[in-house]
Amino acid sequence: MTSITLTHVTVDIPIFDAGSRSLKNNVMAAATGGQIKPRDGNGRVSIRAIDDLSLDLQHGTKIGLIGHNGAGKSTILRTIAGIYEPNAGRVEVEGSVAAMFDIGFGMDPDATGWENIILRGMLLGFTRRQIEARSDDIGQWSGLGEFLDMPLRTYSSGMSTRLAFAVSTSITPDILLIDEGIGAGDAAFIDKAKARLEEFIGNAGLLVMASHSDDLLRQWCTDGLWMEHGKVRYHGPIEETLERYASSRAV
Amino acid sequence: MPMAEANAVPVKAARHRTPTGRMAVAWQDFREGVAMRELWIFLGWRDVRKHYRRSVIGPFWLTLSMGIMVASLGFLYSQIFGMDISTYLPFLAVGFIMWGFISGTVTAACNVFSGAAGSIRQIRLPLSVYIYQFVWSQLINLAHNFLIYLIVLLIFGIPISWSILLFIPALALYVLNGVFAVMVLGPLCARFRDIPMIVSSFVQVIFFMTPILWSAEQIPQRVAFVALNPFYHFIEIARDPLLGGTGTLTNWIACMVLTILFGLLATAFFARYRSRIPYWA
Repeated sequence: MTSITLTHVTVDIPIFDAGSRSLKNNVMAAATGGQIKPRDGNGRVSIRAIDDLSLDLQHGTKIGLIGHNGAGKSTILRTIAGIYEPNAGRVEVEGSVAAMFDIGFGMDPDATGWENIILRGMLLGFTRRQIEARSDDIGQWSGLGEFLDMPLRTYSSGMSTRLAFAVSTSITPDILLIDEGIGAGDAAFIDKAKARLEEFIGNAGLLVMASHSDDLLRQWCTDGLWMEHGKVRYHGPIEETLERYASSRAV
Repeated sequence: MPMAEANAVPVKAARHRTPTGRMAVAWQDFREGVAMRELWIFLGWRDVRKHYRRSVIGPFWLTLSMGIMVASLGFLYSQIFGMDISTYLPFLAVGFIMWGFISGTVTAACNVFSGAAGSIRQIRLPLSVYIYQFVWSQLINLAHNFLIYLIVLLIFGIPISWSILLFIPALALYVLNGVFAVMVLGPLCARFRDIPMIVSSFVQVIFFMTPILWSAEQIPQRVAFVALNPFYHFIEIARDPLLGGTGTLTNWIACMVLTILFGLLATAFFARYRSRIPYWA
């Protein structure tokens, strides 16, 4: 059964400046009793991105993360994805996870469209044989035709988004994590993308989505989680959450 | 489900924070990485080809430049040392090829995680995938440079015996130590960005201190100075079998002991700091 359980999860993100990145400075700081620390900003600063968060999401949940920049939305997604291991608490995830954070990720500008389908497909977890069997479908769906034989660097940004989108949505994960929606090229393509996106998101047993777009959140999510300074401000139905968030900003 | 196993592994965080728990998680990381060999073999090949995509001879540029270096240095130093070129040049060529692997691995190991920061934060892959991918690409480079060895073999008619098979365990030790080097230098250099510079100047010094251009027999009275250099033993266990010898027992024991010690250190270090890599990279 698909589920995500966070129990008292805390995540601190260390912030490094040029000084604390340097071994020499760290050694010097230790040798001088740390006296030069405050002056050149050598003290390590970290930001508590998630503060003692407990959350239990079961199969069928479609939850939208709401909150202003730096509220911890992306960190929650990265923690669920298993990229960040929390400083405290435990994360339990049952089911296969697909993370869609940066749609352009894992593409090689010097490789052709076809090669990029293979490359990205393998990074998404397909075996070579699986992705080769699907690449015709993916290529056709992208509508890029002969451009697929050309290197990616000759593509317009809309075209490369199409390709990335076509590959990314060809998987069927149990749990889907989306950060800031999925931009997808020109107007004609958006209609086409909508149907595929509907199928893609609809098939996922569990959706966690961070977005600043109220429309997107209303369209895809049933629940909302309003985050502020790494803590939950409100957790409830999406409409209610959006209203509360909007009224807090109006003040 | 087309999703790979690694993506489906439940993430359990609580056991991360005890020493044995960390060790278990690191071990799991390595096993998952091995299971994803299709991915890193593919990515490793791409890394090698990417560098030379638009040139005709591809990675053989590296081989060519090393070949020219070996030929000219071989000629020059055989004159300086007053040695027969047919014994000196093969010695230099093999030493150079193996040193190329060591220095290339140690220097570039520093950038394995900091260079992959983008993908480390975008998708969840076992971190060992990046390690294997890197060491594999170094091995591919080494294989290209072996062309020089084959040419030298033909030109100088080096006597080859069954002892050449000892090159296989030697290479295995090289690969293991390459993996260990990334396990230590990868996280360390992601955290402290001035270490790569320290490492590369260190590597340069080691090159001159190690019997590659010169031979250990040329300074018998300073034997300790050579014998205490770990890189000497590693060069020797690969170079000697390729030139018809075996390497001494001391060489082999030194290499095995060093590998075990380095392995223990690297495992402890990597297990301790593995979970910090996505934050540091």
